[in-house]
Amino acid sequence: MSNGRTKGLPGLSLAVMSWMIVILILIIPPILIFAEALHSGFVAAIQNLLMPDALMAIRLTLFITVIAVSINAICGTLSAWALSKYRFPGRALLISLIELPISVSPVVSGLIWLLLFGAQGWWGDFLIRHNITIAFAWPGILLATLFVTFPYVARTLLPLMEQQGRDTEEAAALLGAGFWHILLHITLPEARWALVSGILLTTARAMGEFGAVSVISGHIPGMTETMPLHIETLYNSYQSVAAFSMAALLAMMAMGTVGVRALLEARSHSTSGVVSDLT
Amino acid sequence: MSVQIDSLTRRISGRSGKPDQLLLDSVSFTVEDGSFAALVGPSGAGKTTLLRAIAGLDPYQSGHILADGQAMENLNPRERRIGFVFQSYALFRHMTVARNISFGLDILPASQRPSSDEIKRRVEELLELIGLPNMGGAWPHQLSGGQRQRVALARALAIQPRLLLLDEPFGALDPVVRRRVRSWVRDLHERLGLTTILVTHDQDEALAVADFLVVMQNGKVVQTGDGTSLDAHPRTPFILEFLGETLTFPGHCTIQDGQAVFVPDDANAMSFPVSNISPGPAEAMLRPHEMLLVEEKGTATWRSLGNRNGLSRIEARTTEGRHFEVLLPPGHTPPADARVGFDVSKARLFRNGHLLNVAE
Repeated sequence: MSNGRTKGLPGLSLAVMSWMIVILILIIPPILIFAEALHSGFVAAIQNLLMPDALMAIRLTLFITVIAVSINAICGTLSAWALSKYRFPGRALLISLIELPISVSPVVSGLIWLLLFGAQGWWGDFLIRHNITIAFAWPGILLATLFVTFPYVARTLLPLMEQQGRDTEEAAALLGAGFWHILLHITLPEARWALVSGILLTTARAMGEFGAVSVISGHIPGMTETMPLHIETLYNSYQSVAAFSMAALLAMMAMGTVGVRALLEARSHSTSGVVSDLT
Repeated sequence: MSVQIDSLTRRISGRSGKPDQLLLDSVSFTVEDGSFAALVGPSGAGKTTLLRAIAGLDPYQSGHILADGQAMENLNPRERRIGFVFQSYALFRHMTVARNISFGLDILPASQRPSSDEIKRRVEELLELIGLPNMGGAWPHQLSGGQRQRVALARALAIQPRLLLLDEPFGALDPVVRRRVRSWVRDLHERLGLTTILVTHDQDEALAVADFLVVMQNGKVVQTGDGTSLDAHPRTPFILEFLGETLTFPGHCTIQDGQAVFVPDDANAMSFPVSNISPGPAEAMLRPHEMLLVEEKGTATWRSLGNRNGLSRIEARTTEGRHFEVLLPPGHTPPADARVGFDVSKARLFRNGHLLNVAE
């Protein structure tokens, strides 16, 4: 715009600056990771990924991600729905509590789980007596991941559902629709893009979670190591090609998720309403 | 279906020490089968609250809503068979126009649901009725406001309701479309004979479409009736003022020469005889077109402001500086003299906020 040229920073140099920052911070690091991973060739990178401990880490990560994302998609949707469509005492407090996992350091939340479920923890005796292992096993990792990724679905849905109001739900009810029919055929389809977006964010976050999982998992290679933890183990034992191969794979998975999200968002803006139901 | 509202009351408990608030204060009235009623009143009067209570969307603490003499509260939404049109239209954005309209039929249990051919036929009929044939495949976001409005109506009509409720249905339309949709809704009502209740804050709209008005204020029904009777016998000054422009002349009733008369405080306004009114202060209120200007009866000046709807607009100004607009009916020419008095004998008289009598 002509305004931009006469006053303040010229548009062109602003664009150049933003691109430089993007390249420096966002594009170069993944390229370096891929370069390091392929340092000894493509075959070596693949071989490293096929090592038993590496395979176990990939499997565990996928397993935890699928379960955590499913649970949080359901719980996040229901809490966003309850919080946006109803007014009740304590509502504002609940909304801020949902954001708690974002503000609390993951390491701290991992420590809290350890404090509750660890052998020396509050419920440690009870769990040992009943043969239930949570800390240093996958249930612990799942709990930590659930906690850390809980806000994403709820927070993406909440503003949208609030803005939508209750009119269409009430219209459906007056036309004779029941509770579940309204939720599945009216509320969720209307919020489907936000829901998908929240699920993909949750997925990216769940795959990459390090801090909380690191504390509760006990870092046992081949047993309780997820991909991020395994990367650290490999790197600390100077297996840099293996570490970077795994890092490249994790980065690709995360970038893929974000890419799908961006694609869907672009599509939802251009053709809002013209895509078939979720159900 | 006739609708009988019987002392309906809804209160919400006051927060932090404030007293309870009455949203609906023992509201009672009856809407006859096949009539078109309008709930009118300023915003905050409780019109939408009442409409939502009739639809079963909002609760109430006491009172009854009877449909054809049967208590409505025992019926679930499907059995109530109420068509409701929201101010926001509330169309399902992820469904085509046809699926919006057929929604109420599609969700019926298999035993009651018409065959898919039958549903298709009904949707086509309704599209025809709302003047949007061949638009079944369109998406709500492709329609104009007026078209969305009509689709919302078709969707409400698809379930063959016994009662149609319209919540400020024309509020979001621009004035030209608004008048068109309004008369279309009125036509539709006459064709289908469906009992209809409309909520509006616009008295002109209510007078234009409804044959029965329920005027509300502060959660109470102030008066019911058709436009003409409300205008002729307004129970309170509020009714008269709400239904249109009014001119007010304070004064008092007294006995002169054995005849009861109303004497306005304004010396320019002429006294006029009244009957059955005890002496005391009163207010005379009338419409701008009901007042006449009389030569040589006062010291007010006037000037012409041109014409409106065939009536001559006159601005009258008293020596005290009060000025207002008068509409002269056809056949009444502006006075020749520059000095005039006011004949307000067509006014309704109020004392303490209540109608005293109607001047003949």
